[in-house]
Amino acid sequence: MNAAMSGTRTEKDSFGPIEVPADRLWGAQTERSRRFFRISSERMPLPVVHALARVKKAAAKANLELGLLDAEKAHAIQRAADEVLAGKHDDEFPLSVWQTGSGTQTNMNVNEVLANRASELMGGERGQKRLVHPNDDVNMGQSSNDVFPTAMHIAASLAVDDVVAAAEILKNTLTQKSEAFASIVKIGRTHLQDATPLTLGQEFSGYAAQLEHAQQAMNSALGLG
Amino acid sequence: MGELRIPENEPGSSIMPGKVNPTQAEALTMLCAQVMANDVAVNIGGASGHLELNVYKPLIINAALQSARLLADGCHSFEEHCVRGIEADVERMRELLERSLMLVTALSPHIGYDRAAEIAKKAHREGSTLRAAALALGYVSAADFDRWVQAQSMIGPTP
Repeated sequence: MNAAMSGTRTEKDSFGPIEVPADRLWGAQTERSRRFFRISSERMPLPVVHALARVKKAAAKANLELGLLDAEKAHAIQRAADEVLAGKHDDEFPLSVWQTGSGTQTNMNVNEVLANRASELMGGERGQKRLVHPNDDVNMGQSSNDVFPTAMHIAASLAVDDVVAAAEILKNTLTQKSEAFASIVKIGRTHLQDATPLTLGQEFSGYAAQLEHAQQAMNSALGLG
Repeated sequence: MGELRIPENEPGSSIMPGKVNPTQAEALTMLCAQVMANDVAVNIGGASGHLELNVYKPLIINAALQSARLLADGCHSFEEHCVRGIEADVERMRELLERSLMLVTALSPHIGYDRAAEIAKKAHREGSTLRAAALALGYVSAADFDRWVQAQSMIGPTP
C-alpha cells in the first residue's frame, strides 16, 4: 500500500484529536508543534535526534531490567531506536529549533516515532491502536529536562571529537611548514609595523601552538585532559 | 606584504581577469565570526535559565553544533586547500628584512638606545640605509656595524 496516497490519520493527545499525514510516523504532539512553530528554516539538528534515540534505547533496556517494561515492548523500542540511529527515519523529525525552550516537543517527536515504529515491529499499527505508548512506554521514567540535556551532551561531545581531529590535521601541517621554514629569517611585526626579526618557522610554530592549546581546552571540556 | 604564496584555486573576479584571492582564509575568518556569534548566543541562553529549568536549550545545542561543524569543516578546508600549499617568497622576505630600520635594535647594547634611535630616524628621514646613516653619524665603524647588525643573530638568545 502506498501510504502517501491514503491522506491523513487521526492521532490524539491530551488536547484531543488532530490529523497527521498518514505516511508519517510522528504523532499528535509533533503535529501541533509543526503547526504552531513555523519559524525560519532551522530544524532540530539530527545529531540531537540520534542522541535522543540512544537515550531512549538505554532507557528501554533499563526499564526492562527493572521489570517496569515488558520484554516485547522493550525490544521493539530498542529495534526502532536502532533504525533511527541508522538514519532510516531522518525525515520523521520535522520540528523547528525555534520551539519550546525545553526541547519537550522534540522529545515527544522521538517518543511518538519510536512508539509507532515499535508497534509496527510488533505486528501492530501506527496511530491510536498502537501497541506501544509514547509517554507511558517510550518516555517511561524520563522528563524532557532529563533526556534533552543528556542528548545535548552526547551530541556536543561527538561533534567536538570531530573538531579535535580536524584541528590535529591542521596543526600537523602547520608544524611541517614550521620545520620547512626554520631557516628563513624575516622581519617581525608588532602593531603591524616592522619589529625585530624572527624566522618564518617561528611564526608558523606559533600558529601550531595555538591549535595545541585549543585542543587541550577541548579535551579538557570532554573530560579527557 | 607578499611574503607567502598561497595556492591559486579559482578565478577571483567577475570583471578583473586573472585576479586570485585568499578565499580560504576569508571563509575561515567568516566562519570564525559566526562561531563567536554562536558563543554569544550560547552564553545568553545559558545565563537565562529560569528557576528549575532552562528554556533556551534548542538554541544552545543548535548553535554549539553549528560551531563544531563549522570549525571541523573549516580546519579541513583550510588545511587542504591553503596551508598545505603555502610557499615562502624568500626573495621578498629578504628584501623587506634588509630594508627594515628595526634591525637598529641590534646596535642598542653597543652604542645605547638614544644613539641607535638617532640612526634609525636619520635613515627614515633621508630614505637611506641604516648602515649609511650609522656611518655618517660616526657612531660605529663599518666593521662593527657589519658584525653587530645581523638579523640571523637576532632571532633567539645569544649562545
